[in-house]
Amino acid sequence: MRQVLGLLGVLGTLGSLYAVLYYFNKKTPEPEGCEEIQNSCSGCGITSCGRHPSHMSTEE
Amino acid sequence: MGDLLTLFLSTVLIDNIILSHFLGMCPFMGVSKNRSSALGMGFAVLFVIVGASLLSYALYYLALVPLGLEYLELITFILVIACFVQFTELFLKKFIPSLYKSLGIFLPLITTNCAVLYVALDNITNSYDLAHTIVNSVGVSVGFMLILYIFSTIRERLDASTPLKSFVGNPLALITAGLMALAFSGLAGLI
Amino acid sequence: MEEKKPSFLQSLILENPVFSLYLGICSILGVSTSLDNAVGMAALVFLVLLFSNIVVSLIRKITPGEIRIPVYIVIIATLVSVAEMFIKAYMPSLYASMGSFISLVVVNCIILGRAEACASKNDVLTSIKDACVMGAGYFVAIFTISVIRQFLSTGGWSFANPLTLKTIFDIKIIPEQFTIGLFGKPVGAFVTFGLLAALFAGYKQNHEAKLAQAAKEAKAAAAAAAKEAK
Repeated sequence: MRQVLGLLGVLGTLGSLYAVLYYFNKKTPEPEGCEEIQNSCSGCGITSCGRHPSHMSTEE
Repeated sequence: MGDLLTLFLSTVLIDNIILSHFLGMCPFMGVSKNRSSALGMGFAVLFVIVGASLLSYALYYLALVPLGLEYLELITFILVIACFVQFTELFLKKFIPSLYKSLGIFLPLITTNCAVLYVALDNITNSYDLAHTIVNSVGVSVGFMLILYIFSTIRERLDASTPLKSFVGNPLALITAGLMALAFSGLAGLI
Repeated sequence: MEEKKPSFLQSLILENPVFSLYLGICSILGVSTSLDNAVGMAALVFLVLLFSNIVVSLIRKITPGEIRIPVYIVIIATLVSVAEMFIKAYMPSLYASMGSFISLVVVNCIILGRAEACASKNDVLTSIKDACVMGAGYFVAIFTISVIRQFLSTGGWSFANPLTLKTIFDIKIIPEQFTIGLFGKPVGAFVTFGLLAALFAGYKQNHEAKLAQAAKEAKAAAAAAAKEAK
């Protein structure tokens, strides 16, 4: 029982921590001069990277 | 003290994470086109590896072991790394925008980098204490940065040359990496 | 103007995830020292890829677009944890020789990349097919490299059943004094991979040149036919 609670606790904490941090990250605007960063990356085939060009067209 | 120094030297030069363990190859091929991006990537990796491995070390010994949940280490370490990268981006955006400008582009790439997860797991597998953990993490990242920088300088020269058409780009880069591995393996007698 | 779709064998070479897209290189270089490791790793990657594609494809409608990647990572991490425990229990020899590379399948660029690029946008059957193609490509890559490396570094090939540890075959062709031990070391891995990558790239460029030539001729023929019709 303790193990199941511990499992849910650890995974739940980490998951919600990630969600909170991601939310704040999305909300903070990038400092000026950083618009080019997103475009200057030409992508290297690692599609799991957050900055891969293929993500930008699918984002709504 | 000598123990820690041996560990540092072996992770940087002899048991190098790229040339000996073949980890971190994805950014090695993709980001090493010029020197400045190699340095940027190297520093970003240094920061993330040290931070994430310390956090996962703490999480393992303070939460997973007391609860008997050691089998969760893979999932929790990955989540810790992802959280840490998000936090780093947030922190840099708010407080050090200049650093964000130079390093920010590489941060999402490091979440799925083999090297970060390897260091976090390695610290647990080898049962390092805190001092060894720190030295291991710093050593691995310094080794990564060193090889990445050297490779980017070689690659700048390679891009200006004209090899056979089928060798252009990555195949030649791989053979160069092999020669570098051969060169660095000669340092094995250092310790 | 119709394009000839490449056959399965051709697409295995032209769109090979390892040699064309350079994904999943870490595990290939580290594990290709012997046939046992290669087959074990290829089976592991294929199974994890298959199951993660299925699961991701099933839940693609209910995952919000923003947190896709961490969700996929957790799914893959769970699958790999299960696989690692299974291997540790039933195939200890494989676990000892592959070591940390089993856990590192979690961040294998192929599995995440395919979940991201294919399974999250298509239904289950297409994802299964895609997993099979990518898994076959990975197997071809790691098998080729380990065949070459094991032959040159130990003089022959050997394969043992990982579950019962019984040797299935053990061929020795080159005598001990003439084997090139370097191919078992990291140098050999990089150089073999680089040369094979060049071979595949050469074939791909050849193929593309032929396609471009055919397209140009078709265009010229069409233009000539249109001129005649006038």
